[in-house]
Formats: sequence, C-alpha cells, structure tokens
Amino acid sequence: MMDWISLLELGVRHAAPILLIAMGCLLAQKVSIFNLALEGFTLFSCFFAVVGAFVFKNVWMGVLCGVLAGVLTAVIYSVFILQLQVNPVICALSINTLVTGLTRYLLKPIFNTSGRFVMPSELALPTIHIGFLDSIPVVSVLNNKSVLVYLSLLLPFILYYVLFHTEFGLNMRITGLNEEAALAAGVNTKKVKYTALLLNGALCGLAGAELALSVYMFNVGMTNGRGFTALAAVTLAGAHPLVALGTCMLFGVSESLSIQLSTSGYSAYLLGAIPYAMALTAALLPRIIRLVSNNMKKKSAERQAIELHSN
Amino acid sequence: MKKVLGGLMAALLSLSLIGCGGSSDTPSEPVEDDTLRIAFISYQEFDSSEWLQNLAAGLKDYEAKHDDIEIKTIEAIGADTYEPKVLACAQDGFDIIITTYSDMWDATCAVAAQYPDIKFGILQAEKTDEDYAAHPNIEEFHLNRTETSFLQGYVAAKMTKTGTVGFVGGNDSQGINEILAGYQQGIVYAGLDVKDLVAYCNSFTDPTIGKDYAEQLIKQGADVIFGAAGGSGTGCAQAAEEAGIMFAACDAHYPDAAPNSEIGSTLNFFENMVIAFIDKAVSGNFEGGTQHEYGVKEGAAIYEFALTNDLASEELKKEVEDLAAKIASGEITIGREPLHK
Repeated sequence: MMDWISLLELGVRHAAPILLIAMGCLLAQKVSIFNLALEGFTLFSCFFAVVGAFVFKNVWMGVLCGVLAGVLTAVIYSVFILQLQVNPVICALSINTLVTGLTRYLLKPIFNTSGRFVMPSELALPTIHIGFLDSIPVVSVLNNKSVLVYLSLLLPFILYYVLFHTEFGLNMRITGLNEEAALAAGVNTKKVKYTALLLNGALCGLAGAELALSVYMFNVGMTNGRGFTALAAVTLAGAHPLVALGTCMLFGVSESLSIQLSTSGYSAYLLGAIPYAMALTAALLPRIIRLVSNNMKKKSAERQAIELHSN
Repeated sequence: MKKVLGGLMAALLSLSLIGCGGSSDTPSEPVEDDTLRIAFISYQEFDSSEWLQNLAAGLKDYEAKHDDIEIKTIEAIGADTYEPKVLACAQDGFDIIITTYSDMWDATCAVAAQYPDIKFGILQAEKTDEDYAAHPNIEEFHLNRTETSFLQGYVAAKMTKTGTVGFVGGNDSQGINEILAGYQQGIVYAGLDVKDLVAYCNSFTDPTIGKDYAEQLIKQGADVIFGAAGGSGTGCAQAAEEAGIMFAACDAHYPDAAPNSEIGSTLNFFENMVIAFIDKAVSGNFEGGTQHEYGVKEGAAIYEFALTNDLASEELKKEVEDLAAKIASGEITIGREPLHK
C-alpha cells in the first residue's frame, strides 16, 4: 500500500533545505554559539534569491544573491553578539522579527505586490537528470534533483572531514570546548567564531535559494519553521555532521509520510505531529536501549557472581 | 557605544512587537474635530491571505471617499495581543472598533463590557444567538463561504475527466471545513460519479508544502485541485499548472501561478460586508447583540470563471449562473458540515 520509493524521494527533497540550514547551525554550535536566528537568515535569503533571479533574469544570480543575503544577516548577527556582546537569544529574536517584517514590507516597493510574488517558470532552479541512475533501484530517488540538493547530501561528509581531519576543524572544536585553552594555544578564537557564523549564513543562503527558487516564488513566512527544525535536528544529533544527516532525513521522511497519509482520513493534527513524535522517539530510543542493556549486563554479572559463589 | 547599539536593538525589537503604537499608557486628547474614528483589528497579517489584502484595500478606498471618516487598520498577531490592542483602541477614543474571527471574541467582549458607548463589530465570530444577545454593543457579521464553494464543487465535478477531484485545506478548522462542506455538496449535486480526496497541509504560508500535497493528490488521480490554503494554495496552483491539470481557486484569481489551468475562483468581498456595517453604524442603525450573514444574495460572494483562459464551456457558465440564482433565492440550501474529511 505504501509507496516506499516516493516516500523516500519526497523525503530527500524535504530534507535538503533543512540539511543545508542544519550544517550551518552545526558549525555555529561547534564554536558554542546556539544560533536561534536560522529562521531569519533563511527567510531573508529566500527573499533575495527571488529578487536576484528576477532582476538579473538568471536563476544562478538568484542563488548568489540568496547566499549574499544570508552572509549579510550573519555579519549583523555576529557583530552584535561577538563585538557588542549583546545577548545572543535577544539578538536572534530581533533578527527573526526584523526579517519577517522587512521581507513583507519590501515586497511592496520592489515587486508592487503584497504577500507573495510569483516569477515566470523559466526562473525555476533546474533539476539534473542522470540517465543511468534510473536503472538502479532505490538510488533512483536521487535523480531529478537540483544541484543544491546534491550539495546538501555531500555537505555532512565534507564537514566531517573538515571538522575532524583538518587544523581549521581542530581550532573550531577547541574554541567551542574551551575558549581559554584555545587562546592559550594561540588560536584566534574570534576569527574562528566569525568564520563559523559567516559560513552558517552562507549555508542558510543556499537553503533559502533552494526553498524559494525550486517553487520560483517568494511567500511571506515561507520558511515555515524549518530553521527551528534544523536546530532540533542538530541538537538531537549532538552536533555530529553524519548523525545530523540522519536526523534531518528523519524529519524529511516523516514530513513526506504525513503527506502520503493525508488523504487516508487520519486527523490532520495527528499527521502534523508525526515529525515531532519521530524526533522524540529518536531522542529517547538510544537512551532506553542503553538503560535496558546496562540493566541486563548488571543482572548477568550478578548471576555470574552468584554462580561463582555457590560453586 | 556597545550599550547604545544594544539598547537600539532592544528598542527596535520592542517597537516591532508593540506595533500598535503604544497608546495604551497615555490616552491621547479627545479629537477636536468631528472626524469619526474607526479601528479595524485583524488577527492575521494583512498580506497573509488574498481576502485580507482586498479588505484592507477596500477600507482604504472607503476612507479616501469620506473626508469625515478615519480608518486605522491594525494587526494583532498572537492571542496575547488581542485584548491589549482592542483595549488600546478603546482608550484611544475610537468610535467604532471592528475585530476579526472567533479567536478575538473573548477579548472583544471583555473590552466591550468596559466601554458600553463604543460600537463594536466582529467579523466571523461563529458563536450562538444567546452569546450575541448578551453583548448589546457588539454586532456580528459573517460571510457564508459554503455557497460559492458549492458552485466550485459543481464546476469541478462537471469538468473532471478522471472522475477524481482534490481539496487542499490550510488547516482542519471550521472556516476551512465550511468551504470543504460546500465543495463536497456541490460535487454531489452535480450527480456524477465523482470521488473527492481531502488533505490538510497545516500551513497557510508554505508554497513548497502546498505543492507537495497537491502533487500527492494528482498522483492519486485527481485532475482538479481546489486549494483553500492562502500562500500554500499558490503552491497547489503551481503543481496543477506544471502537471497540466485544472486548478480551482479560492478568494482570488491566480493569473501569475496558474494562468492556463485555473477554472474559476470563489471570490469574496469582505470589504463590502465591513463597509455595510460601517454605513449602518454611522447612520445610526447599529444593531448590537445580533448577527448578520452575507452571501451570494447580498453580493458579498460570487463565483467567477478564470479570466486568463476559457477552459469552461459557455453551457457550464450558464448552468452556474442559474445555480447561483437558485442559491440566492433559497431554493438550494447548503449544510456547513463536511461530508467526510
């Protein structure tokens, strides 16, 4: 009954923007910045990806403008929290509020519409068709995706390499773990933090471009909480890039599951809760398994001790 | 320097949160001239839906035509802002205060009880006659959305080739379900063997999700998609256009997203209702404690075929015209509960 292939196919598509945001968020978390402004970064990029694509009549200029907008918001955020020592949570909230209002406002002077702006379909992000993939079962779900989706799937591996096998990654991790030790070791921690946040902005920019340009339109609030979902996915994964790939896919596939089940008569509220129920399970299951296995180990050790004793 | 900039950021944040103008602390001087001041408080952002945009534009036109009337449109987003904003308007000396939807009913009642001289209007409160009777300075008015969606359902059933039509709603709420109810009864009225699929996408601002839900329905054989989901509905329109099937629109036409696939739209004129209420209140015919329904008969809702293509036959257009007349005369009555979800 369930169409597993299309479930997975849709899941990958949904996971891609979340994954891009999550990888940015992960970099910030590695330098111990809990970035709540992801939603704002991404929404701003969505808007400017559409502006760029429409003004230059070129979808790739749209992607570039999206990335620049993401970096710009990241610069503002990092100057406020690193240079001016503003509370990061307050700063993140004000960026989110500001971006929500600003994008709504700017639709009027730039496009002379309100609420949404739809571009001609020629400005959609093109999908790539790889002929031989069709013949391989399951892997074929990766076909006909935009280049940003492929990038999002590669990023966790790139980040894993950078974080655990390069000096830059080591500097990032040590800055996050113990800033004073990093300073004592001669690491320019401020520079490391700036770099992490700017990369975070750029990745949110790519996510915004993927979101807005794959439907070639901007709609107010079109990120619809994906920034927070990404934050949850990264936190759930303990800020490990490869585990985060898994948790993001989990969110993507459960979203796709609620779409697939939407016409089957289940309550819409129940279906809407699937991603969160899955996340809760994913967070609790490893702990429960560990608890049970520890308990069993203890019991078998006790039994062995008793057997030894009675012998 | 740091403190100044930090303070500036905080001020910016608090300003954007208050929005209304912070008039609650210091009530301004009573207005000298005899300008009638009207506040319209929306529980949703004005640009979130087509109908609210049209409403705001309609009120602006009305204000421009009347020199002695000042209309202020205000957004109150989030339940914790309803009462403070309604109260702020009352303290600020507005003569007429109009609030929106059942969400704001409790806040409106609380403030109306404190200010018996102010005339309150509420759009779509969805309460009972007893509730209204208990509040002599609140008049309720609402739109009957089932009538035009009935026509939409009839058109969809007549035009489908696969015998399956779809519906994507923004959420599982009474307002959306009334649209669904009309749609389903219209399909049944057409008397053809047509199956209808229902999905709720749980968002009014996410075109990506809307598009995926519509594509899911298309995969299950639907060749008409009725999108009643604001910005997510634009995603549905795009999915229909790309798949080359038909799109049934809600609240507005979609010449940008579905120029070749839209069959027609259930247009609502909320501004006419609000203006009718204002006219009544201004001319001294305010009817507090009662409710009023507007629909096809009052010209507050009409079904209009798409302007960018001619998918529908002349014969069908004639049939829909006759049906609309039957609805207006009361010959056809439409229930408010969906047949299935």
